[in-house]
Amino acid sequence: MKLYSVICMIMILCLWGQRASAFWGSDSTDVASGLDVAAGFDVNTITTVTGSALTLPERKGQEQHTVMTVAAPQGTVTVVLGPWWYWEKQNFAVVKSQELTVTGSLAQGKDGALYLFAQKIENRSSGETVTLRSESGKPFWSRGGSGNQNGNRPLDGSGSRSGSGGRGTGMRGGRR
Amino acid sequence: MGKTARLLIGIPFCFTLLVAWFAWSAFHAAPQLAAENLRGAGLSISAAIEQLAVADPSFSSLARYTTPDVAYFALIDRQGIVRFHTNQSLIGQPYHISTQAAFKEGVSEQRERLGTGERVYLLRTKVHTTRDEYLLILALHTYRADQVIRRAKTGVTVVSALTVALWGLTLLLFAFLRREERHRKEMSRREELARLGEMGAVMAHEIRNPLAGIKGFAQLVETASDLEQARRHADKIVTQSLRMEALVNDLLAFARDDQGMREMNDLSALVQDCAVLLRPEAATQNVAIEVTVPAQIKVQVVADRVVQLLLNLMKNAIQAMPDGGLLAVGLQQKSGYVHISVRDNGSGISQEHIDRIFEPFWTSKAQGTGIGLALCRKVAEEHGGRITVESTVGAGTEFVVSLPVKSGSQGN
Repeated sequence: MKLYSVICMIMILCLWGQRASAFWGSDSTDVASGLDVAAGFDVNTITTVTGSALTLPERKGQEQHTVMTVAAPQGTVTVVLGPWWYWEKQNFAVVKSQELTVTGSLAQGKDGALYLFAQKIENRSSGETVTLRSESGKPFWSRGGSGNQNGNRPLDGSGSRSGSGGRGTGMRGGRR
Repeated sequence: MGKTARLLIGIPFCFTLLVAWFAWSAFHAAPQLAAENLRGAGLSISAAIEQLAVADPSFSSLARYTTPDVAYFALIDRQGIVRFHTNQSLIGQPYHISTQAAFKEGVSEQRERLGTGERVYLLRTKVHTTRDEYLLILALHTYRADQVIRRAKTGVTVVSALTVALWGLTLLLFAFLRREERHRKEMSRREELARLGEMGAVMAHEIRNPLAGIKGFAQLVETASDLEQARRHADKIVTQSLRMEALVNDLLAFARDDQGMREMNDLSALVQDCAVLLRPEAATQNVAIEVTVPAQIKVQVVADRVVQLLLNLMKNAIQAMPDGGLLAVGLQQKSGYVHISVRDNGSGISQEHIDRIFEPFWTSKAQGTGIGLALCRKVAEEHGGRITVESTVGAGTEFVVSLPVKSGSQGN
C-alpha cells in the first residue's frame, strides 16, 4: 500500500515539476508571450502599424515595462514601449481611440498575440512623435549603448541571439 | 481479497499503459506534423514570391505581398547584398553569412530565435528569375502550425490528470476494501468467539448433568446395602455414561469431513432401514412412520453420513410429537436431484426459531446439544446439496433434503 502511495506521489511530482518550470520563465521573458519584453528587438521584423489606441500605456510585469494596445488592420497589437520610468519622461500623452502610427519590431508571442517593440510612435492628429530606439534598434534608455546586438545588425541569417548585454543592463544604466 | 487487489491494481495499470502509449505517440508525432505544416506553408509562400519576382524584376510588388504567417523575408544576390527585404531600410546592405555556402546548400530549414525572443521557422531556398538566382530567406510565425503540439501537450496533461485521478480513486477503493476486509475478519472472529462460548456453555451443561448423576449413583453404590441395589445404581451410571458418549460421538460426527469417500448407494433402502430402526422408539410415543419411496434410487453418497442425517431428522420429528402423530418420509427424483422429505404433524417451529435451527450448538430443547440439525446441513452441503424447512406452529414441520444424483454435479 505504501509502495503504491509513493509511486502515485512521484507521478504527481513529475507532472507538477514539468508544469512548474513554465511558470517561472527566465529573467526578462514575459510568461504569456515568451518574448523578451525588456530588451527584445529585431531589425528584420521592423514594420509600421497604424491604428487607434485601445488601452492607455501601463506598467506590466516584474520588469515594469510599458505596454499599450492598438487596434490595427492586422488585429490587436500590444505595443511594448520600454521601461516605465523612461516612458514617463517622454511626456507623450495618449488618449483612448487616438490614432497612432507605431514603427517597431513585430513579433508573435506564444500566446498567438502580436507584439510590437516600439521604435517610434507618432500621434497622427497632432503630429507629435517620440523615438524610443535608434534606426538600428538600440534602446535610448540604455545609457551604455549596449542594447540588443541583434537589433544592431541589419540582417543575420543565422538568426542566433546574442544580445545578452542589452537585456537588464540597459534599463539599470538608465536609472542611474 | 488477493484476486480483488490484483484486479484493482491490474486494470488501472493496463489502462495507464494504454493511455501513456496513446499520449506518447500523439505527443511524439505532433512536432513532425507541425514541421510538415510549416514546410508546406514555407514552400507555397516561396513559390508565390518566386512568381512575383519573375513577374516584377524590380521586386517592388514584393513589398505589397504579405500573409499573416510571414515574420519577414529577404532576397539576397550572389554577391551577398540584400536585394529585397520586408524591412525596406535593409535593402542594399550586405548579408552577414556566407552566401556561397548558402547557395550551394539549396533548401534548408530550421527553427531560430529572433532578437524579440520569438522562435520562428526559417526557410532558405533559391529563387530563380529571368535575370539571376537569389537566396530567399523566409521567416514564418510558428503559432498556428504549433497548435497541434499545444493540443498534444494539453491532451497529455488531461490524460495524465485523469490517470492520476484514476489511481487516486483506485487506491482509495483499495484502502476501503482492505478496511472492509479487516472489519469482516474481526466480526467473524468475534462471532467465532461467541460461538465458542456458546458451545462451551452447552458442553458444560451436557457433561455436568450426566457427570453429577454418575457421581451421585457412584456414592450410592458405595453405601449400597445389597448387591441388587448396587447393580441398579451401576445401571444408572452406565446410562449416564452412554449419554456422555453420545454427546462426544455427535461432536466427532460434526467435526468429521467425509469429502471424496462417496459410493453409489440405494437411497430408498437407506430410508427404509432408518424407518425400521426408529419404529420401536416411535411406537412408544404412538407415532406412526409412513415411508413412500420408489423401488430403487441410486445416489453417490457416503452412506453412514446420510443415515446419520436421516436418523437426526426422523428422531427430531418423533420428539416433536410427544402425544403421537404421523411421521411421513418421502423420496423422489427430479431434474438430477433426489429430494428426501421428512414431515411430521407435531408442534411446529416458531418463525423466531426457524432462522437459527441450523446453527451449531443452538437448541430450543431442555436437553440437547444443538448439533443435530447443524450436522444435517453440513452433510447435505458436503454432498453438494441443501436442506430446507417449512413449518407451521401447531400443524407440523417438513424438512426437505436435496442431493445431486451424481457427486460433483453441483458444488462439492
